[in-house]
Amino acid sequence: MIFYTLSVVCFLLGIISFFKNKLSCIFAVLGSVFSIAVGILGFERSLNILNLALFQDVSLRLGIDKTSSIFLIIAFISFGIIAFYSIDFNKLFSKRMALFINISMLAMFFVLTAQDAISFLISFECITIAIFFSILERKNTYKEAFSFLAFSEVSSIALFIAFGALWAQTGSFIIANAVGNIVFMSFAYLAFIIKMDITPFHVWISSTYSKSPSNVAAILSVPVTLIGTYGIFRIFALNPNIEIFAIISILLGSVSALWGALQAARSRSLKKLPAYSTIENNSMILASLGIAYLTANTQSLQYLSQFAMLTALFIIISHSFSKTALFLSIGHAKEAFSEELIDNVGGVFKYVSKITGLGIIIAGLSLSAFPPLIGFVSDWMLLETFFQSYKIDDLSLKLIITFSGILITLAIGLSSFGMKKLIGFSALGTKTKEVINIESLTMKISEAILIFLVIALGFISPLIVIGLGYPAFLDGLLAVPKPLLIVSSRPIFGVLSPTIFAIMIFIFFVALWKLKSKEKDVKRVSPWVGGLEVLSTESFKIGAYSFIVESLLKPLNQTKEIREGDTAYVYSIDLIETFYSFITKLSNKISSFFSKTIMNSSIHWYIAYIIGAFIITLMYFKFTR
Amino acid sequence: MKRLLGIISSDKTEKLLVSSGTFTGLVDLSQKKDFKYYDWLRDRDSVYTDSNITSEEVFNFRLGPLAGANQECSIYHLKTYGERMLAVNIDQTYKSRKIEDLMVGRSFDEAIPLAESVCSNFAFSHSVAFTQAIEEALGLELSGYSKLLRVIFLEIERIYNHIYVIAKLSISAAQKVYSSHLLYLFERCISLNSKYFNSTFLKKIKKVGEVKDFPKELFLNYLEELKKVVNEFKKIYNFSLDSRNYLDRLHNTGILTIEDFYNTGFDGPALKAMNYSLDIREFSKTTKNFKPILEEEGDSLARMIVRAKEVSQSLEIIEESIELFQETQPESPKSLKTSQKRDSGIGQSESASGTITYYVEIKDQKIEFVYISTPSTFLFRAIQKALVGQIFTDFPFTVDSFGAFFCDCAR
Repeated sequence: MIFYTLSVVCFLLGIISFFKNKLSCIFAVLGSVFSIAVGILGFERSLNILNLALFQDVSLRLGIDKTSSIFLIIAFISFGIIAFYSIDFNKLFSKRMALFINISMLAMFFVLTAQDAISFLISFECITIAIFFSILERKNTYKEAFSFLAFSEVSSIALFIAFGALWAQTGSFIIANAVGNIVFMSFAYLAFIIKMDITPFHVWISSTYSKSPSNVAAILSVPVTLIGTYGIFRIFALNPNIEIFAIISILLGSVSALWGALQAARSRSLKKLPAYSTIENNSMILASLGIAYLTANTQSLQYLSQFAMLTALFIIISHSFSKTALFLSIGHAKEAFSEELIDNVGGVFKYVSKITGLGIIIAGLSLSAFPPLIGFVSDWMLLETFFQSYKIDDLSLKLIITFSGILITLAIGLSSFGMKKLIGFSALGTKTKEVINIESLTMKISEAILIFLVIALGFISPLIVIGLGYPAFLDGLLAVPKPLLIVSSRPIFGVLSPTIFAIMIFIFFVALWKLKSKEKDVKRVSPWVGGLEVLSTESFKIGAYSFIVESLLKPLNQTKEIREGDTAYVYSIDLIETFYSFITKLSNKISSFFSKTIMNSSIHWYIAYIIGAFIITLMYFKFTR
Repeated sequence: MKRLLGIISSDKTEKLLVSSGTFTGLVDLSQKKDFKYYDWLRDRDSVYTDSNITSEEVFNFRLGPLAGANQECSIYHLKTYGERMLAVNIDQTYKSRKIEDLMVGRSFDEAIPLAESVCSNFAFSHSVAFTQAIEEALGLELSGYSKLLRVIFLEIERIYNHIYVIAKLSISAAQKVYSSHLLYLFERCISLNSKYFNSTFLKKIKKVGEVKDFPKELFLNYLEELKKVVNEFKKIYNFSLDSRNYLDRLHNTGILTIEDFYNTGFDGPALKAMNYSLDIREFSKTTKNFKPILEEEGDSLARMIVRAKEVSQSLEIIEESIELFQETQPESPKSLKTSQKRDSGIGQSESASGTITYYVEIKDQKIEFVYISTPSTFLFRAIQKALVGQIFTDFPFTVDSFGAFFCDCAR
């Protein structure tokens, strides 16, 4: 309780002291530390924090259980690092930035501890509003901020309906009572997958993530989408018997993962690529949860169900830290070069900062499933989850999971393709522009912490398995001692030891380093191709790297090769965006029609509207009583 | 149809070397407007630059000078935004040996090896065109005996060149067994050359006013062995036409149109693959019944078919010529009337890839000026056109279907 209060107090102090950016951010960091402490304590035993009766049957209830604890720890490690990063980064923006960060952190804290619909909705809306204004901190971002707001409000409306259904069934707003309520489940599911940026509700992210300040993009990618993930965990736990949602999750998750990875592979923008990668990661979580709940009610598949649940948690951890590291590092690079395209930020490692370059490399490699990083462990577990699903008896379910597994595998491959592009052209690329000096000590420290986490969490993944309460998935085999082996099936069939992997890679790395350091007289020469030095005009560009994906999947990307005189370029678009563009144009036309014909400030139409509304209301009450 | 073969500026005046099948000669500069490719032909030894496509995404993909895809030292500058070749500029200058300059001041016998070294694959064709130009300048006409020998060797050269080009094309299309077999046949051909005529690439056979004589029965023995090679070629070639995978790679690849001909002036199998011919054998008295092989599609497949059919056609010509040759007795070259002697001459031969033309000016039995017009000069220009708009995968299928050589182009 004391840590809970300290967290809230720190965030409030952060809000009050927003005009002092550094102080405000320090309060945000302290608040995160206390929130993590709350999470750790809540993981040991559930806590009831507040139960405040407002009216009869209506009360505000705050508390912590195991699920909210896990999410609190993950979200506030990420949030805390973002807040520390913001000490220097916020100097590039107005002082209001610290205010919005503290508000969103406080609201997030309440979202993850809310046990009733009212406190959940209020906190949920507070995050939306704080993020909306923080997006506006970058100039000319009205369109992007409103796109975010529109999708968030659709999510809120769906939640309103879900909680309305909860009230209609139980006469209360306590979320834990929503057991077996199909209407609640349907609308809450919709609300949370929108929040997770699952395809086809993702179209706003490419422009919004791209235009937002990088710390806000990191918040959007990790803590904000964690709300959706948290919500899905909650509603599945309340309704484990509704199989159809599990199947939808597997199918939607796999299709969405592939779509996200595909768009990431196509992307040329520094922040659009990780934005699309967010869709892929969240979709993988959804698919994994789908398998966990599809198999939860079959006694013989309990091991698989639990393994799928553990997989979902691992992907959350991997996504949260790798993606935060990536957004913060590329944000640093973006500001240092004042550029948005990957092609134009070459040489981050050499010219911006080694830590920043390493941040992009390590985070990118983790998201490419490079061993022994945490992303590798989570992707291996996800594939194992799909492989082990052969144990499901039902043939149609087998076919669905096989099909989804194929899509997920393709998604992982394409994701690796996209991340290598980002690493190769930005962190390790050729410098094309002079670097702007920005004060970046806290930014570098934050990036370094995240690099450490991404590497270390892969190494200690057996400890995480134990920490999350799943020791049954650890074993030993041959030369690998117990509990360093993660086991995906019993009898043992499908194993991985990230720790041993990491040790072996470290040994090889040290051996190579030693060998290299012995060669004192190594002559360095300029790179050449075909016998001549490479000119700047001959450097491979990112468009060329992406073109193979755009060209092969022409119908999906609407790829067009444009030639205008001596200018040539490739144009492609996310196909789903064309659908939303159509909807936007249609609604603009309809609203324009209404504003010109009916709502055109004409007194006659206004009176007719009032009378019409009055008659409809009377009729309603007449026939419904 | 007429072609501009070269721009001659031996003295201070500039003249055009043109050909229209029945006529080959120098014309006034005023006719340059008829040839769209006059400007680049004038600067044929510099890098051809077609267009300067720009955008943030476009970059120059440089292939060469040393690259696995290039069998000779050269550079393909491929402007691209990935996969698609938007513009192609070819730098052939690495192979330039300035052979024309080296010939100046030399005697005819000293210059022949230089002509033969322009491109070993076309060594005999070059020696024929060069000596023919000298013969014209000297007012000499070859005897019927020598003319028959000349035809035989030109067709022999055509057979092994066509087999070589088809082998290269099949290597590009990953037809490993087929290409190895074709390369064996090519090796067989040139080893037959070595065995019967003492020169792998038929060098030192053509001299001014004569062709080196060989015993008549030697040709009969040679013909038997050549027939075996050609029959084996026909067998495996027909077998290769069953591979849809192979043909798909060549079909609709590197298509040329008549507009491309007017812009570049290429000839040889590349032009015949578009249903047009400027083959000088049509107008030669020695090969009077000659009918060119024509195809219509203008793509890599059509070019390959023309070559394959020409292999059989060449064998038939060789057979007929050897038959005639058995009945003909050696003679000395005929000396023309003094009024027909000039200080300059034009010589031509139809090589496997197109017409080779030499314009020479002589003084005191020495070369004073030479202009060499090679088929590869025009073919690389055509390759530039054919590559534009295609994807990288089609690069080898296009380039190798033309049978062009950088050494021939750059001289």
